[in-house]
Amino acid sequence: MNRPLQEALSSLREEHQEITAPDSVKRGLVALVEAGVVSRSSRRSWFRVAAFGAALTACAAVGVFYRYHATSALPVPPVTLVSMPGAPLVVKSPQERPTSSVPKGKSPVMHTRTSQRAMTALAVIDVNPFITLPSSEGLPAPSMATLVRTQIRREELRQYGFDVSPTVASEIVLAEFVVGQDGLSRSVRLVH
Amino acid sequence: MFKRYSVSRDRESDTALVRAACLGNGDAIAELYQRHGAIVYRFTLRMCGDASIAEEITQEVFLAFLRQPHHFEEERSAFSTWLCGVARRQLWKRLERDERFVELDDKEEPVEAPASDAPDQWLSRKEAVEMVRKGIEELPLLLKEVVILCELEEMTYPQVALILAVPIGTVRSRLHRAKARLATLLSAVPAGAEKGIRP
Repeated sequence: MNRPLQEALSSLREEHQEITAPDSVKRGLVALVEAGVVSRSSRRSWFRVAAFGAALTACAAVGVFYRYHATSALPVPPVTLVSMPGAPLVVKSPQERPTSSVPKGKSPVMHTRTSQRAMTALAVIDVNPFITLPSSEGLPAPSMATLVRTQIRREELRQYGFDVSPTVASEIVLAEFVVGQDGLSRSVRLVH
Repeated sequence: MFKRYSVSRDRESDTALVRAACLGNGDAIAELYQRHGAIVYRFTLRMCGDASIAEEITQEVFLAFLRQPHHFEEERSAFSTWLCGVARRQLWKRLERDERFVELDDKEEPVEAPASDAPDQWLSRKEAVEMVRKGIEELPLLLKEVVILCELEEMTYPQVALILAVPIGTVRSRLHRAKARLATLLSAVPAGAEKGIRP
């Protein structure tokens, strides 16, 4: 390298090395550390991460428990989804399904074991036939339908056009609604 | 050839101080600042040329360490190297925010030496130093930071490569280009000028 540049850089280096850091910054840092401001915030962030991890683990554990052990213990049997693309709306109870129509292998909707449990649960439940909802008259037949099982009060059936006796209006029943792809209910049946 | 100078740092005692500082020991952070604060401050001061910004960034760098000490990996780099890397990132963010960042033009030719009107107007050594100082200030940031770290701070090429997050070859080529530009400034100086000899 050329000598004048080397010497100039050498002089600049000596001058540069004499620059010292301001003491005001040091005082500020020491004060912050001794006051525990910085350390506390650091600990807080670690605590947040630990708490989040624990919550996540707990959620996962609960999920696994319900997935494999608690399905049959649920007060309401799991909701069965029935989709029939391109077919007329026909909904049958599990008992009415022909043996040949039962799909082999895993169900696309439910796990095999869960599905068997649900079928067993339904087998001991009395099921009424579906009744077309008065409120659905005039609606086009859906090309796809979903069966939704829910607990409702009998008086809520009034909104679908049914007459409900006041003596049993507050009674809670288990009902299955056939809901079209347009989100409108078409028929209902009560499950005892 | 890898760098000629070595910065002697007691890494083991640095590690002990880092741990103590993380536990809230005020003396430890004071000692760490005493050891490494100057290098961070000098680097930022040379880069931005503003003492208040340099002071602010120096403080931010140490605060960043205290808030997230796990970001410093002692196996990967020395504490001062890590601090300089943080300082550089903070500085570039600041410069980009303030729109003072000038992109390095790789195709740009080295600046021409100022034409000397009269042959007797030779530069003294002091004038040469001033010219190099001014030349460093006017260098593009990518070249300036390499000159500051390699030449003024006497860091090794691997250390600078870690700070800049570029390969060692890039550090060397940038330093070469920066020196070529600075040398051009002094090319008009006759051989005796650096000794202050006038005819």
